[in-house]
Amino acid sequence: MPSEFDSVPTGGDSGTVYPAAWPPHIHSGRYVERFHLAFGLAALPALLAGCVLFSFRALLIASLATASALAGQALCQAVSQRSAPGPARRGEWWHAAMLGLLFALTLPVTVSLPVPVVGGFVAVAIGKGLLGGLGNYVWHPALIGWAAVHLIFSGQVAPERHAFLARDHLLTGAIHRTAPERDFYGFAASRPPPGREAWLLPRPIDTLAACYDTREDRGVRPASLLQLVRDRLPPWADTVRGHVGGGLGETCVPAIALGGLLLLSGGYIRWHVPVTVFATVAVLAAVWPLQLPHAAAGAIPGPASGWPPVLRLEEGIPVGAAVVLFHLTGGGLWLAALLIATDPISTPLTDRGQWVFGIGVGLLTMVARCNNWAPGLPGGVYWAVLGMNTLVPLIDRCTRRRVFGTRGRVRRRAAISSRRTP
Amino acid sequence: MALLNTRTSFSGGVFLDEGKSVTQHRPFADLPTPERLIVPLAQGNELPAESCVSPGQDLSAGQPLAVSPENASPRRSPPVHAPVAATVVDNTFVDTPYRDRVAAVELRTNAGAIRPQAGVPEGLPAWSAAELLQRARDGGIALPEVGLPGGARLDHLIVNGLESEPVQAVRLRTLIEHGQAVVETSAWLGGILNARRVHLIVDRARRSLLARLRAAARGTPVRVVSAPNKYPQSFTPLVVRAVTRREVPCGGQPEDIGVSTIDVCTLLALQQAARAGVARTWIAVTVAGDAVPEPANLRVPLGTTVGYIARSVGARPPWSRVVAGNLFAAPALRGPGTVLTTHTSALLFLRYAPPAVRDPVGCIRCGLCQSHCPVGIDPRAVLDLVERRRLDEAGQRHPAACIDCGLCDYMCPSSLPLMRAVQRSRRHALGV
Repeated sequence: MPSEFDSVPTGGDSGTVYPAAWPPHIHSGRYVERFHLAFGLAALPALLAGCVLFSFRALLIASLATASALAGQALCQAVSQRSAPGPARRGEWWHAAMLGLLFALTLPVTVSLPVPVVGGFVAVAIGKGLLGGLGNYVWHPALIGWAAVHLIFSGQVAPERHAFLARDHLLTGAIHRTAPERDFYGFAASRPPPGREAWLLPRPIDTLAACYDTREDRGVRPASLLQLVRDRLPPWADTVRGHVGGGLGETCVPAIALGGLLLLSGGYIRWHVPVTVFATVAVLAAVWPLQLPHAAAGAIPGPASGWPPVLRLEEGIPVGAAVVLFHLTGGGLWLAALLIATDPISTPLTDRGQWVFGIGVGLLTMVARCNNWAPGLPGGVYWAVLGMNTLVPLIDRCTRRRVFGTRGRVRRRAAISSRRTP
Repeated sequence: MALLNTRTSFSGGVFLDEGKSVTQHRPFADLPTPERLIVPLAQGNELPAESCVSPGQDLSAGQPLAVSPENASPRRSPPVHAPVAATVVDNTFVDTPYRDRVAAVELRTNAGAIRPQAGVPEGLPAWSAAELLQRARDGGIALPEVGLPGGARLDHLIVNGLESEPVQAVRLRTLIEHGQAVVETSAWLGGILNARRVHLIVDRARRSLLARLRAAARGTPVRVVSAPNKYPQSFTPLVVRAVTRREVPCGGQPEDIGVSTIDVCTLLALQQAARAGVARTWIAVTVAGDAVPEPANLRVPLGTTVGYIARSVGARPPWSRVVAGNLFAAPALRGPGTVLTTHTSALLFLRYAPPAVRDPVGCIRCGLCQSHCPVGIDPRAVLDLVERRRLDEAGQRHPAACIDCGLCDYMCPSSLPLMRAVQRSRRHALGV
């Protein structure tokens, strides 16, 4: 190329050649490694909240999961002898660490130490490395890790009762010194007996599942929705602040929302998935029939008949609306919808595809929670995300954007441009 | 707001920091005429016109250098003229931003030669459409052939005053300095081409400019419309859709759907050719970039080398790249001997570290390329098919609709060569 150029008369400039470069000459700056870093940073507020709500042991669990995820990444790179070139190499490690961290957020803080180690390793070595690698995996690797430990250590990962620190013992309390449920009247209103620093309660979402259950042998069903909401569920504000049982990063709604906002404002995720997930869950919770005795069976829809449940009033209290709110904040929905289901690799490409995906996640979540043969499936929202991940190739195929100028009936005029002057 | 703007806008695209805060306020200035000009005989990718001068010949300003035979193919460049009074040195070759080694004529300019001024405005002539096309071609302006007797009627003539490309401001300056002339010429051109409606489209954010143009257009058939200046709104198919709601067929021309577009700079050159018989030999170009101390909007004679412009504006090397035109999609120039053509509207000397010189890594399926694509192509899928040599399948993804805006490359976190893949499959699909 330079020799050809030298033969061109350049008006005294011959010999100089400008640096070669290809377009684009500007870039949005959102490089791969920033994507992974952004997801990792977005998970940090939830982890911090987990430390406050569930003691420093949360940090131990998360560190173990992250370290073992990085070990899985090291193993994958050693076996495959491949790594990305340039600055993206850092990104691969950040991605592995981010997966380990996200996986840790789904675990209850009381799990034994092998659980995060096994799960973090499975997430990266199997969920990411063996199932396609970065950019090609179908299922979210953190959820693969979660599913693995869920099957291996099911009693620890999905116990019937979860511990969380009591008032005045946040951050520094001992999570294993738990007090029984009968002393609990809401986080702010109750203190545990002397020597006890944490509460041991079922997750609100598991309690809620009782009002969808038709089986006779499943414990005491609440006599009314009011009794459920007032006596058996914690105050709703507790479920928002995260003073309830659950995974160490899935209970504190503001912290997760902060992470989600970080991702949204940076342009790393689109709003379509979270919004459709929340909307679908809210709508379905509003209309899903409750299996509870209600005032006038068979009456016309409305507050009196008990359907739709969202309109249900008992003693003047909108208990039906409360059920919807508990569905939104009582389980792992926020973590899944904002930080896990938005993962770029395992979600559809197009906006329309993301709508379908979000609706599917919401629908499957509600099926897992409210079906009347086995309601309250532990980790229902995670199974829902895994299920919809499976459908992503199909969704992508069915929701392609229409390309400009390919509408079925293009208004074609005579091809004037090919006509010559008469 | 993007949701509300979909009627005149398009889905995809990106609102940029346009980088026009300086260039938009710089009035056009004439560059001092260089001693040597190497006038290319083709402006873009078309076949060059045929030189009709010999070494040693003296030329006056506006005299033809190269002619285009009667009934030449539309792919042949229109005639080329001497920008100033000059002596022919030789017939030679030169690089343009769009093509290497184009036939050219090297000139030594006469001392004190300046830009030929348009004569006394004497009103715009009443031409027929065929006469207009011929005169425009003689003046070095190739217009699409529309509005001819016997042809289909032209529904919309759109004068494109949008300029969504970063930094460059020549269309904006043209509208600011010659708004009245633009409106008059638009009405005149619409009348000759027998267009049903004539539109002048301008950036929606330029409120005072819009108001002035609307005032100027009062009582004329010209309708001044506005669109948000989202990149790449100023590209022809998107302008057509914004104004008419019609979509240029994939791989087709606006003329196929009864629409014709012309940008304001070409329109003004056409006005000069019609009023004063001045051929298009001067280029309006924004010279900017972080290596240029004083960005400027310049009129330069056809055949000025980039090296001469760099010295004239005091651009200080070293720079990492010199780009003629759109930062998203234009190639970097190879050397100071390159000359600008009438297709060029910006010359940018950039010092910053090249951001996109990164090795491509695996796609992470973020979807940013296809969600920002203004025409709805899935560049990631096209790249995948091209890499696997399945070009026929890639052709089914409609790469011919691509408008070369380069947004996919701009967005891609993995630095994948998406635009090149789409262009590759477009060449395959169109058989060129």
